[in-house]
Amino acid sequence: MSSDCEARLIRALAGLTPPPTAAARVRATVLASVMPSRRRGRARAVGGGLLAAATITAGAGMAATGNLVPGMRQSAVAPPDLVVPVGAPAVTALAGGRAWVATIAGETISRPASAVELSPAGLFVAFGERGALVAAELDGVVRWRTPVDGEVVQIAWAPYPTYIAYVVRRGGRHDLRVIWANGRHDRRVARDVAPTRPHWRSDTGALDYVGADGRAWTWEREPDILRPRSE
Amino acid sequence: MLVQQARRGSRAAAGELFERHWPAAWRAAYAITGRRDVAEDVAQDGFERALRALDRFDPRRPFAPWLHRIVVNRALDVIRKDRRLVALDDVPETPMWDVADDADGAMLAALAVLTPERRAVCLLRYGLGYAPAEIADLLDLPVGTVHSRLARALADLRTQIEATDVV
Repeated sequence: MSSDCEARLIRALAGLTPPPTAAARVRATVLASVMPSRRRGRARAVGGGLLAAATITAGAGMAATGNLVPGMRQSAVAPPDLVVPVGAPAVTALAGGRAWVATIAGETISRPASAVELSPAGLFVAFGERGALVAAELDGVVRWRTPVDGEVVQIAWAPYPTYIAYVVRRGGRHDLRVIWANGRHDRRVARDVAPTRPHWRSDTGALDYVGADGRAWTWEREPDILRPRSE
Repeated sequence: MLVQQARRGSRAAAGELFERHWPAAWRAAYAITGRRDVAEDVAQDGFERALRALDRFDPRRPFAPWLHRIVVNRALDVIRKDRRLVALDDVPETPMWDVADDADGAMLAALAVLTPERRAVCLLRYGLGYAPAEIADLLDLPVGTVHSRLARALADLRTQIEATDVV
């Protein structure tokens, strides 16, 4: 019985074959990522001025150094290389149509993206791209990808990484959406918002955002209501 | 030879290493994680880590065990992190292989019930053909632990298979 079970197990595992369409794509990605010629080219790209007008974000819990402010985004002149501030797990930047993530482990990953944001504890990073919102580990391993009807232009993790708010541009308009941090329960919270980064309140978990009319609004999760920010 | 050429920066050699070892690396990642999208990322990540660390690799040793060690440990690590990410939801922790409704599919469904650590030793023993002593070396485990995990895994698989009346 045991040998029969083993034989069946061998046969079942042998039947696990990778999809042929993925091999070429992954091969190209691996070689571009690892082999020296491309690697040097990428390093030059990072330090060569692409980040001159980049948006840079550092992980929460970091000691503020230079002109980086914990948990905030701001325009900054790029350093020669992405340097992870003391106390932060990683630093991200958006430049040249790509997101860059440099980690304390000394690795730098990059992928085409329209938005990027570290989770509060710096364990994960969310990428926005045309047609999808992606959550990945800091070394680039994708944990989930959810389809999006448009292009993600802003991302905001809740202080406790239970939710991710994000803004999607579609046909000149922007929608505000919220998804659970595990990639489930994606839903639209508001139509016609401004393409600014929404803000989670750490006390109540409410979400502040700017409407297309320029007014500040708040989404209360419990109960599920929208109200003007001033009320 | 290929490893030495890749160490010297040969893209062709690195590409050949990929061609030879990609199917087994993907199978290892998929057998442990049970998800195609995750398996592709884990296997790709394993290749990138292995190729980046070629300077530390002893070229007199075979490349495959080194790669498989990286991929298997990476897959186990991803599962552990995944539990943290989904802890607030009702996502089942067992893998979700998209398997056929036949004997092989039943076996993979039974494999999904095992703990990730037992799946890993099953994959290394029966999917990649390593001896228990080699598995112990790959996973930094005592050989006795490998034997006991294999024995318990097979007992659990037999129970699962018999319950489905496939065998």
